[in-house]
Formats: sequence, structure tokens, C-alpha cells
Amino acid sequence: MTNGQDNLLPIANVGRIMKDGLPPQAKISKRAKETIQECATEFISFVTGEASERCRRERRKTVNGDDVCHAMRSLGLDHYADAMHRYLQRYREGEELAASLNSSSSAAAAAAAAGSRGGGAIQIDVRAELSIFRSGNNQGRPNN
Amino acid sequence: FAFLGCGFKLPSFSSLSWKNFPFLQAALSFQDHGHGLQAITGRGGNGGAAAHALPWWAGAGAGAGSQTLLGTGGGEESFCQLSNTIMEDTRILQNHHHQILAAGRQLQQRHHFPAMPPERHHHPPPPAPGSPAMKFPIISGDSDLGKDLKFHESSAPTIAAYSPLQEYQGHFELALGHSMVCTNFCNSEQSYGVYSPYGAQTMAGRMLLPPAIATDVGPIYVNAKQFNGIIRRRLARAKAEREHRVSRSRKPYLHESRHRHAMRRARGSGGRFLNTKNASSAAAAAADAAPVSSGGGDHGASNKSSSASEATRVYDDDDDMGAGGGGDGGDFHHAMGHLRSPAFFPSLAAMMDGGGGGGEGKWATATPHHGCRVDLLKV
Repeated sequence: MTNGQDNLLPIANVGRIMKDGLPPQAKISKRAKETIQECATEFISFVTGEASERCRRERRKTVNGDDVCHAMRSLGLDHYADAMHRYLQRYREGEELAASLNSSSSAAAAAAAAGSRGGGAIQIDVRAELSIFRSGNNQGRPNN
Repeated sequence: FAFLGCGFKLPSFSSLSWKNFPFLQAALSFQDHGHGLQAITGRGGNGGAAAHALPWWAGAGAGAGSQTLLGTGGGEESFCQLSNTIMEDTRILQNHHHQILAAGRQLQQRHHFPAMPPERHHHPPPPAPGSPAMKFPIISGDSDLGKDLKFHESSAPTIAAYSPLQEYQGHFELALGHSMVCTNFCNSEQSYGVYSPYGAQTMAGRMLLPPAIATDVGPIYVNAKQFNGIIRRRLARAKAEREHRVSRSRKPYLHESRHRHAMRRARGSGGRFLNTKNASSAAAAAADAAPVSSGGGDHGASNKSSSASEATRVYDDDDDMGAGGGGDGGDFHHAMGHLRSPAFFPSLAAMMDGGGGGGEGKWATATPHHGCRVDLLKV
């Protein structure tokens, strides 16, 4: 599309994430949301470009999670790389758990129970997992 | 650090002669190149094949360098060699050539362009007098352009003050192959040659970023690890702007149908959407809003109702309020944000006329010219 805003993150979600980090009575201007929207989009393109460059050097076509972690580390973003590595491990554990539950079930009732339990297991608290200060800021936040 | 220390002294001597004799500076640059080569050879000692190949290249470069300098007569010959370099680059690197043409020979591309031919040229066994001849036009070309000199200055602080990064880069490039090592040598040579004239300050882990064309600020130092990424992103953004994929101006709304639907909704006093819960006030407010909508449409902020209906929830989010609705609220959010400024005074006038209709303390400001607002609203 010719619309440039399609390449940006949705501004409502950006505003909601910004609001989570502020006091309840704080107000955010539209210009502030637009600025953070552009900064977040540029940061994603920056890290993704580094990961894609590594895939191009190694003659690979698929950018996977390890490439993103390695890109963050090569760009000097060590805190982000550690948090992303922990999230990636937790995500893969959830995927393996869901796969094992689906393969072990045979009856319809067991499949329904496994589906609900698997859905619960895969649910990851993103903010708590990605927090770079795990020991200090360990309180769980509802994932919206 | 001993080799880097030696490299430090030679540029200071070249700064005196740089203003008078460019060719002498070129000769000193070749000597600096030899020093850089020895330093990298010392660091890359663990690699057997690389260590075996580097001394041969060092001997060839040092031996043939003086011959080429003695043989070179004037600038015209260097220009011919530069054109040969361009043609060779066109043949060998098709992708890079395409990128150069696409970028329109910008500053970053000009830096990448001279560094590539020696890389590809030295990968096969080259003739001994040929390789320095290919390297000499790069130096003369760099001395002609001031921006290129400023760009080459960027890598000097890193090489001088950030030797661990140098070892890291050397180790990484040795793993890739011999051609990458040649590229690193070219960068080292150019950086040493132009280091002293500009007196670049050495900062730990910082690399001087070349100034962008659009910005007029001074030099910006960035993390050395992120330097290549930033240059790559600049090229990608320039390419996107050239293809008109990114527009600077923001549209007030993203979807036409949603915009028209929002315009058709009933609005109460103050321009906000009517709340579906207040059925008693809806009829009275609708009668009051009818002449306003027929007049030309009064645009106000979004309604803060917490109704569960989809149509209402889409446009719940207000621009400055903390209350949040559905994810799609951002679409109409743009419309309200864009149209808020011209509709501010009519909304305020309607609020003052309505009295206790809105109940917002934000709009309770006393207006000195009350009659003027009424005239604007009626028009």
C-alpha cells in the first residue's frame, strides 16, 4: 500500500504500553504517542536489519529467534539479548509442552482437557519475563 | 599496543607534510598500512592459514608500494586507474554496483565503493605491481573529497582506543576469509592517514558517525558495535523514501468507512458521542445536536462511555485521557486528534451553552466573549 502508516506499529497499543509505565492520572499527548511509535518501529527495523544481515552472510533465508538474540548482542544491547534469550527458552518450552499434550491425547474428552491445559501452559507473562531487572521487579503484571 | 603506538607517531609526522605534499602523505599511508598489517598478523597468530597468507601479502604490499609511487606521474593517471577500479567493481560486484547506482553515490556509498575492489582483486593471486596500483587511486580519490576524509576519520578512534574491538573484528573477519581481512587493512590505512590533520578525539567504544545530508548538526559519536547497523538503516530509509513507501505526513484516519460511520453518529453537547446507556438524555441531546450536524458538523473528542458494544468501543479512546478502550480506537484517534484544533472553540461554546450537560471540569473555563462563540457555532 502507498499508506506510510501501515509500516508503523498500531498507535493504540503503543499508547496502552506507555500508559502502563506511568501513574494512573498521567496524560499522554498524541505527539508523544506518535514519537514513541516511530522510535519503536525504527528500533525493530534496526535489530531486524542486523539479524537479516547475518542470515545473508550465512546464505540462509529464514530469520529465527537465535538470530535476533545474536543481533542484539552484536549491537551491544546485552540486557535486551539476555531478556530475549530467557523469553525464547520459555516460549520453546511452552511449544514442546503443547505438542506433547496433543500427541498423547486420544479420546475427545482428554483432547478437550489437554487443549485447555495446554493453552494455560503456553500463556507467558511477557512483561515479567522480559524485565531486565528480574530480582527487583519480580511482581507479576496482568498480561493484556 | 606497541604497534598502535608506532602507528600514532607516523600520522603526527604526516600532518606536517599533509598540507604541502599529498603524495608524501600517500607514501606514509602505505607505511602505516604495513604497520597495521603487522599488528593484525600478530593478533591473528592462532589461525595457521591466515598467518601463513598475511606475511606474503605484507611483503608484496611493502615492496611494490614504493615502485608505484615512483612510477606515478600525475593526477590524470590516478583518474584512469580510478575509472578502471569502477569498471572492475561493476564486473565483480553486481549487487553492490546496483546498490551504488540506487543510492546515487552518497557519502556512505562512496566509502564502501573504494574499499571493495582491493577485497575482490586480492582474493585470486594478483600480480605484485598491480595491487598497490589499485590501492593508490583510493588514497588520491579520498584526498580530493573533504567529506571522505571526515568519514575515514571515523574509524581512527576505534582503532586507536578500542583494541579489543579491533581484535574481535579481526578474529571475525579472519574466520570469513582473506578478502575481508584486506578490507580491514584498507580501512586501517585510510584512518591512519587522515587521523592527525583533524585531531580526532579518542573515546572508548565510540565511533564518529558521518553527518547525514539532511541534518546540520556536528559530528555524532555512536557505539562502535552499532555503526554498521546505523549506516545500513540510513540506506534503507533513503531507499524507502525514494520509492515513496514512507510518507512523512500522517493521515487523520486510516479507514474511510470508519471515518464516515463516526461522522454519522449522534453527538451530544460538547461534541462527544452520545452514550447508549443514557436513554433519557439521548432524545433531548439529539434534538440539540440536529441543527449542529446540519450546519456543517461539529467535531469533538471521543466519548468516554464504557459501553460493551463494538461500534461504541472502537472510538472510545480519547487523545489525552487515560481511559482505554478497544485496540481499534487508534484509527479514529487520528481523526479526532487532527480535527480537534479547529473544533476547539465551537466545542467550548457548545459546552458553555449546555451548562451541566458535559460535567467536565476541563471545559469549565470562563470565556470572556460568550456571544462570539455562539455566532461561530451557529455559522
